[in-house]
Amino acid sequence: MDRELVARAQGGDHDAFAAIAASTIGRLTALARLILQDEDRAQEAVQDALVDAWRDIRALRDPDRADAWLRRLLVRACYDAAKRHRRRAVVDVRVLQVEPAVSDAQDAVATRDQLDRGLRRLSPDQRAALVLTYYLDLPLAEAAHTLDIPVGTMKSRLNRALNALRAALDADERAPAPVREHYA
Amino acid sequence: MNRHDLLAAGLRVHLRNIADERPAPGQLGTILSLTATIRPRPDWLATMRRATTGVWARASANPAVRLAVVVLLAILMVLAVALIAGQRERVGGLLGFSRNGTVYLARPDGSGAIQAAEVPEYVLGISPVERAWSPEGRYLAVDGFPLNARSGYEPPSTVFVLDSRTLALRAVGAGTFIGWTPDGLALVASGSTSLATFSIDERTIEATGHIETEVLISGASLSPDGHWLAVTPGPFLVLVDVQTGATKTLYDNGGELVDRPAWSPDSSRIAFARTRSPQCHMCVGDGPILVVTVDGSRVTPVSRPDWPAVRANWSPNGEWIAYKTREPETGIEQYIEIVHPDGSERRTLPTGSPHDMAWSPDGARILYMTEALDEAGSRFILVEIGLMDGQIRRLDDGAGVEAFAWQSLPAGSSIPPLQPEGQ
Repeated sequence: MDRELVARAQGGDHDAFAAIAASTIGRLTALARLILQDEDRAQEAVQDALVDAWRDIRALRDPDRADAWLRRLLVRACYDAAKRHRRRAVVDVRVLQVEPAVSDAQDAVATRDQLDRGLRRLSPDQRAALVLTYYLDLPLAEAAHTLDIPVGTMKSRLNRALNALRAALDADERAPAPVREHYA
Repeated sequence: MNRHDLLAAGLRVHLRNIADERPAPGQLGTILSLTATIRPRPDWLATMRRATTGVWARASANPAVRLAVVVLLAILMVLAVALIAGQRERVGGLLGFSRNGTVYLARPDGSGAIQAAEVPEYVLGISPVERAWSPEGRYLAVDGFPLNARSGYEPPSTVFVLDSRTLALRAVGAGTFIGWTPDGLALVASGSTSLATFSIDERTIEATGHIETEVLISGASLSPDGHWLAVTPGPFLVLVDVQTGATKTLYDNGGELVDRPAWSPDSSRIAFARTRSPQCHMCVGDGPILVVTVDGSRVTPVSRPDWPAVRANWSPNGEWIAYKTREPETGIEQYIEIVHPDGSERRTLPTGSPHDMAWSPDGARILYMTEALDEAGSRFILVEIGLMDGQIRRLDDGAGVEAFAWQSLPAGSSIPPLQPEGQ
């Protein structure tokens, strides 16, 4: 992120902030979608993060760390969005059905779908750990800093997240296809 | 490569494949219009850290000074907590809302809602005036419509007052509620051209005055100083002297309707909606919001020139006017905008489609009703938007509202206790 823009925004220049927001909103949106697995909540989290960023931009000590700071705000906003909507849970209800034989191409699609379903079954903090590590390729320490947890906790969270994903995939292979139902 | 590594590699590819970096349409614009209404906070933390570091460095050399600094900081913290608690109490107030003919009271954050009043033979509704709560914040004016009414006018509705401390509901008189004068008298439109005043205390309700007016009492709004009643009989904005009934025409809209006058807190100006299109005689408020001085000497348009705007609502300090507006092209998207009374610094709030609205007593939030669709179908829900943080939060108890009023307490007074349901 342009250090000059950050400094101007810290001085109250809203145009500079607009340029920062325009250059980061895409990446933040992708992150929020991956962490929250919900379009509405993701939009909410991105808006909250950018509004927080503008309001607290003077608290940013090192303009060179603006990207990391924004990511941290976004992860926090994602957690808040997830909490706000916790009552409106999405659960998977399994229905019995006979699976037809599939070709290799269909197998690939099934794998992608299984990963999607597996990710949805993880908690937002587990998904955040996976997304920061495997989508952004952040080093362990940087990912831990973004999640505001010690490196050791980050390691164990990542491990637990992968185990949970593996368990979800294994369960998915054994069970028939799910039907999503919404409960208020 | 073990199973974990395989999974991690697959996950890495999968996440990159599904990552969608396209922001939602219009989201950047919404965020920027929202942040344009906010100023970045000063970095108190850094300032305090710099200041305390210097003091502590000097104090650490002398234990007595160090103790004095600790004591001083403790006193400051206690004072700050007391100040915050006092502020909370001052800006708190109760939230009154009505639904299905029943009146409810809740805490300012919408929690703890209790069923406060219902009358079997009446449909009760919070009076749709800006100041339904009495000046000292104890009584809430409620309009009651008889269930056997053939129309909205015959037989006439009855004004009730709800005592928020005892939850006693008492009938005041026939008519519709207009407002509270600063000395606590309730003003009631007892007929289409007559006004009645009532004094109300804990035990008695007494009729104290009655006047006939020369104009139809329509869309009435009482000035906060209790002197004038602004009414909108057809295309005119007219002031009625509450003591004498004398009238003065402030604005003539050339045959088209004007609507919803709203007084500034200092009673010096009135904001109102103006109908512009002759082809749309019944479409009240398809023109801009205007602000007129009480002597009629100056009229200022404050909303966007080509955008229909209605329901002007002054902030408690009189520095802002909120109103509902919509895009003229589509006519569908509706927002709340706020603007200074001179038309400057207009800001759009990302509220979605609002209905009635009210400022919080501290002017930091705007409450509004908006239509929501859920499992129970379409209904109005009550939400608030913070002007500093843009946060939108639902306030009703989940079952929607039909009308609401936020108690505005005088500085230093306390919030009456809410009784639990059934007591």
